[in-house]
Amino acid sequence: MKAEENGSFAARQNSPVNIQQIMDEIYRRIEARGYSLEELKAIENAYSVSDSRPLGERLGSSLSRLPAISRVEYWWNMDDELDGKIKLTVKKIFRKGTYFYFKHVFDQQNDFNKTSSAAIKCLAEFCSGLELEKKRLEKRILVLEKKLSQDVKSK
Amino acid sequence: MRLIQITPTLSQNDAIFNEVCAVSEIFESEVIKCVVYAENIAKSALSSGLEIRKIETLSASDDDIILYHHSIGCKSAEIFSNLSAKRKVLYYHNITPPEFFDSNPPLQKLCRLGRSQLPMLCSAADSIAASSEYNSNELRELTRKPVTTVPIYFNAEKFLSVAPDFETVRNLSGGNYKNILFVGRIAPNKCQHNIIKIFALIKRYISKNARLFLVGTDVGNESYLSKLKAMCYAFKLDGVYFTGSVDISRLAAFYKCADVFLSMSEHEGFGVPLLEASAHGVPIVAFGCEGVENTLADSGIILKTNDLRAFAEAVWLAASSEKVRRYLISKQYERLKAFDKNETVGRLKNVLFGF
Repeated sequence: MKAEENGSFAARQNSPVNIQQIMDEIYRRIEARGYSLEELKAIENAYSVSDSRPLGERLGSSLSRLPAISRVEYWWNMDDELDGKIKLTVKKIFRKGTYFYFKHVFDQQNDFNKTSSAAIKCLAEFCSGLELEKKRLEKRILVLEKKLSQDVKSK
Repeated sequence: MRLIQITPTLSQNDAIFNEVCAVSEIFESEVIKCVVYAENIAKSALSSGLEIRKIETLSASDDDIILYHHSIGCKSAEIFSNLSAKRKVLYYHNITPPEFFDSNPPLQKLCRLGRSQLPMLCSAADSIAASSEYNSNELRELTRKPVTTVPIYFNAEKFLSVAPDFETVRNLSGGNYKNILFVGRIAPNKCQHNIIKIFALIKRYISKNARLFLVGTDVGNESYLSKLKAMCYAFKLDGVYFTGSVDISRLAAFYKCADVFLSMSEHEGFGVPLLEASAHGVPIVAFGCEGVENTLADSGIILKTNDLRAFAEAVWLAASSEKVRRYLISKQYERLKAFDKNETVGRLKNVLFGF
């Protein structure tokens, strides 16, 4: 972070800048900055990294949305402003007319959704617990390794 | 006579939606009745004041002029091709190459379909327009008919008259940070992953006092967003903000507080945010894909390299050297003149009415 600070470029150039001077300055700064090629390579290849975020963060909004979207509402919304009154009325009649026919299907689906979302939530909690435990154990291993190397040295 | 505009999707904060609104506004002021037909209509679009109808209900008379905005594959393209009207105009906004959407097969399919519909659309249209020279050249390879370049209508005065959201300005102005901004959908062709890599280089090698704002919706590209977030986590990067879709006053606030606009898009048909940044006096650093080069011409810092270090240094130079900033902003203001709204309206009238 020490290569070139603000303003020094402007101070060095008395005449108005042009794009060629800007380009030269960019490449001069690259030389001066001392970028580590190894780190650069790691950054360039980073797009293919596996997602190492904690599970809670990865599941993020999907998990919190689950309870709200797991129930299929039979009386679905019909406030389509583009439909005319006649079309809307026909749709409503159809919805009412098919209610008894489809009710058991929706009930079955809702029952399945409810059970699965509860199971997913439970699994997510269990995984989060495992993740915490893994972190705790990793820390413990580090401490033990340090202790072991100290013991070896003292012997 | 009516001016009928057809577009596959109408959703607010989208460049084509803004274009549809602008065209309606221009011609309604000349007492021409304007109607918009679309396949997918977002609820937010209904409050725009446009007369919007579903494409299935479209019926045109021999007195109507039809302007079809093509940006993705859809059934509207076939409807447009089979319609009879006084004049049928194709307005091509470009289609993202399908290769960018390997992780989103349905979208990939639509992009492919959109490209395959182009010859049919060109032969059905009486007049053909495209929003940039780059887009026009693409069509010239498909048809012998003349193709006119009509830039997206950009009303800089109107855009600048929007008051920036006070709360956002207050949040962004705090601290001695350099704010790096990109505005555009979260999408693989916009290459936000490269923006994040450049930001990581800036944070590691140049300055910790930097923040990155990625403004734009992630709808349809949630898995890409998830990948971007995973990258930030892997780099242990703080200061990256995914804002999602924002309203116009918040957008104005982001431009007002930005020190530099960074675009790494590998495919752009036109690039409205580049004009918006220019109008707001935000220096631009961009990867030189053809669409971006067409829009910026010789303004901004355009780099045609994969060397991320060059972008990191260019961004920091543009954000922190007053002299460079002034130079870039003045060139960008100059470039904006090429998108003069009266000139655009003249070209639009020419393709729509043939005079």
